[in-house]
Amino acid sequence: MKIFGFEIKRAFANVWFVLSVAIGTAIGVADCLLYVRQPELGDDSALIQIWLGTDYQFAYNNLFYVLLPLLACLPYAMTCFSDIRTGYDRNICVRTSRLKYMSAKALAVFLSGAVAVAIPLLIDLFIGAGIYPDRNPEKLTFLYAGIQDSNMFPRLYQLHPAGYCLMFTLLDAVFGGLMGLVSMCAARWSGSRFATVMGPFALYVFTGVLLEGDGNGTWSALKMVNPLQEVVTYSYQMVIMYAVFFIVPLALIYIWHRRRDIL
Amino acid sequence: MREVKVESLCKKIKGTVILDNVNLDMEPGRIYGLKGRNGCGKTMIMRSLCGLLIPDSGTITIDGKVLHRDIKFPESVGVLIENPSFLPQYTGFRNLSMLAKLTGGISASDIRTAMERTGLDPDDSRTYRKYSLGMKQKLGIANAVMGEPDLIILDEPINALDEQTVEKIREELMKLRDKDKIIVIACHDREELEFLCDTIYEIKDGTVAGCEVIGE
Repeated sequence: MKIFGFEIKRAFANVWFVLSVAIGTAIGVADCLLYVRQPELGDDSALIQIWLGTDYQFAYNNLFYVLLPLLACLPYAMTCFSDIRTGYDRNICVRTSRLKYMSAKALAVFLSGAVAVAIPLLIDLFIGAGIYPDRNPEKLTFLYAGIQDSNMFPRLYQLHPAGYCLMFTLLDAVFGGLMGLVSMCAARWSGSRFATVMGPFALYVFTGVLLEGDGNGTWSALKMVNPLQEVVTYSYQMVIMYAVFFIVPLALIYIWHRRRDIL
Repeated sequence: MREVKVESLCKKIKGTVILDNVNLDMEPGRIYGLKGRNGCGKTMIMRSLCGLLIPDSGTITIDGKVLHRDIKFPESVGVLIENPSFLPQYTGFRNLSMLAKLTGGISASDIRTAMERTGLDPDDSRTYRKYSLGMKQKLGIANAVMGEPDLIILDEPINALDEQTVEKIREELMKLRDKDKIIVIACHDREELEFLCDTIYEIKDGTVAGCEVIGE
């Protein structure tokens, strides 16, 4: 169990984690500031309007959700590549089993990616809650994100908008963690730390555009994780997408490391 | 640790024979040397001994336990194979502390002793990325000997070291030998091997081509 503490400590006590959280938080704070400085928006705005995840008025929502895989992978995902490339994994694998080492690293990558995505969203929610009340959104007005009954969690959005924000924060955090696992898997084939981090980002953006669909159900992860829900996502699509991003990288990581017979 | 026994060890990588029927017997209280030209298989043998290489056939038995069957790696081992590698953002002492926590049973004073014996200052605030080549090598040796493990494996330990440090390393290895440790060294310097080792195995094309007991 010591290896789990070792990897998790490495994952959170590093400058890349701080940088990732700082970038995400800066995006959220900039969005808040810009929102508050728009006099025409008036004083009757609600929390659900200013929160980064549902603020459709400015580009910061798009910026955050496009950068999401980078924010998730920056903290720790590239250490799988660098540990193997530098030989640091030898230091560890003479002290603990390879399976425990890889399991610990996968858990650390997942947790650091998830937390790096969650913290900016939560900070933004906290700041927004200090400025505007958690009022239920009014229907039939263009000033709101316009979640319809065909979107996910419509009742939560209408009746408990803060809960809607928290639900999507959780979903985005889990997705961030899964992107970290994809990056860790990519370490097998990538030739550099840069490629290890950029690989999942490129996959996410590329498939995000290609799989957007016709508005009646989407397989685009880029659209799926955005609380704006500009494209309708069915629950089963999200479940399948998350399951694929969870099972495939873990399976590939496991197979790859079982086949590594020389460290 | 009572003995390390290597029997009929074989390994191929992409059709190339890396290890070919390697047989070795090692007892505590002795220093074993591996010599041979580059690419002959010395490092691969060392990897096998510490569980970093899974052979195609053959066994490595340590105190009656077979590697990769009963145990994944030797229970008490210190290793320096190829270039030493540590986390660049931490100091030498911090690096060793983190690894010592994984091993367990190694105190801060053990780490300090290991660093001092290899010529490093445990209180040096420089991070590993600022270390010279020689300092990195010293830290690698300190990592291998800290806590005085029963099996110590050192691949080219005196590379990039000054004469004074080489002398310190020699003294340290002899002290550990006298404490009944099994020490395995690979080195290109034949004189160094003959000075330090009790037995020298000559490795050629992945197999043990000869064995010379020093002093007999």
